[in-house]
Amino acid sequence: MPETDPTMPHSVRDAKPFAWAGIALTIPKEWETSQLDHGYALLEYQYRPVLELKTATIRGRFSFQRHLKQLARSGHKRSSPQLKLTSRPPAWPEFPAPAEVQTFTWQGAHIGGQGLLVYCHHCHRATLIQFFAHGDGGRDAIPRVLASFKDHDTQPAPTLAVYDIQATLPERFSLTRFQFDAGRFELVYGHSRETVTLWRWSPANVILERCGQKLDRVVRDNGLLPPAVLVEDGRPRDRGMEWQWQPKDYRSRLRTFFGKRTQRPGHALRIWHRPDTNRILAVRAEGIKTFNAFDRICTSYGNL
Amino acid sequence: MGIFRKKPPAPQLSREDALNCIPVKSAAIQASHTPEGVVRLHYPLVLKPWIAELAQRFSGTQYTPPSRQLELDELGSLTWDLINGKQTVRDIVRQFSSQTQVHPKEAEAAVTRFLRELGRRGIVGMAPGRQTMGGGNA
Repeated sequence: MPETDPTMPHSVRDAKPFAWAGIALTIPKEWETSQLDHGYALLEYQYRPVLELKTATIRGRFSFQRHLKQLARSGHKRSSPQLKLTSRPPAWPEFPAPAEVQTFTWQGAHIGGQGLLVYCHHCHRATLIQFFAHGDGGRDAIPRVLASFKDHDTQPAPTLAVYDIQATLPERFSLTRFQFDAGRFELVYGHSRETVTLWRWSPANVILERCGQKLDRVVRDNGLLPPAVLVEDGRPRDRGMEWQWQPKDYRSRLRTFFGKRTQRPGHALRIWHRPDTNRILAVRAEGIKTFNAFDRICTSYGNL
Repeated sequence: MGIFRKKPPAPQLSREDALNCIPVKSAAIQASHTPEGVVRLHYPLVLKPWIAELAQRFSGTQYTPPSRQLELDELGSLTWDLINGKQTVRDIVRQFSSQTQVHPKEAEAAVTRFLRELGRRGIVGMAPGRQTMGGGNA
């Protein structure tokens, strides 16, 4: 969204995408995801916070003062830091209309920094970005990070790029549930009756050893398939397996009874092993209209 | 009345200070490697002082505290082998992450949870590590 400076040095090798809660950024490779929640992200560098992001869709009229306070108070901190409105630092990129921006400095109990609140009139989303000042040169990255900011039309950028995973889903899907445990990630996206679930396990060598080097054991142990489908052998895919099956619910039976010729929504699961990153990835789509869409999600799903 | 006075809360370590602590194995632990390559620990059960006192009085012969056995999994065994009384938690997290190709954040969560569990059983203790220059969350 902001106007990028073409003369700005930008090494793709030193950067990686970050996408969460509808916000997409390009961040330095050394920055890591630290905490995630609904509309919230905290990034860190060498175990110290560098960027905090809070985002929400605004209903009704937007007020900078009111929503700045609301967003600053929300999230994982009980008290909001002291904010002082400032003019845009010269090195920071401009955000063209329909975005409105207010920059500020902030001071917490132990640390302070700079930040900005972006409100987009197109998507009605307000995003609060706070950078932490540690005096270790992280300030140089701020203009580049801000220049990459996107709060809508993130395609073809990934819908999700956190920790070490990334995936691109059709824009109609929204995140409904997620769980990040050490060794196991699970994210559930939904739209109407369609559901897409992404899994990631690590380290793969340990998990496969426990499962006798068989991916179908991983599927069974984690309950990824209904028992009736699991008895069938999955189709081998490159370094993985895939199952496709039709739902046996009342809607599907009615459809068969009335002899509808329209394409029936189907279910599919694909699981594969990435030895290069020592990960196991899996995607399950339920009620998906075309298997091509499922295939595209699987192809886009990988490691950062 | 002093005994009824509320104890002041123990000072909480910041995340940075906790990562700079050095895990130290208890001298009372006997560790051995099984043929499968995992670590098996024999450790004395930590009893409350008054229970230990009672047990001492009522046992006729020389009292020995009960012991337990704990078999670690592959990742636990790897972490156990990284504890050498010199490396900080942060060093162990880094090595664990690089050896298993696990994301650093996951490695931190897994290693700290493992050390906390061993600490609860009295198998490892924490020695203060290198001092840091403050910092932390707002």
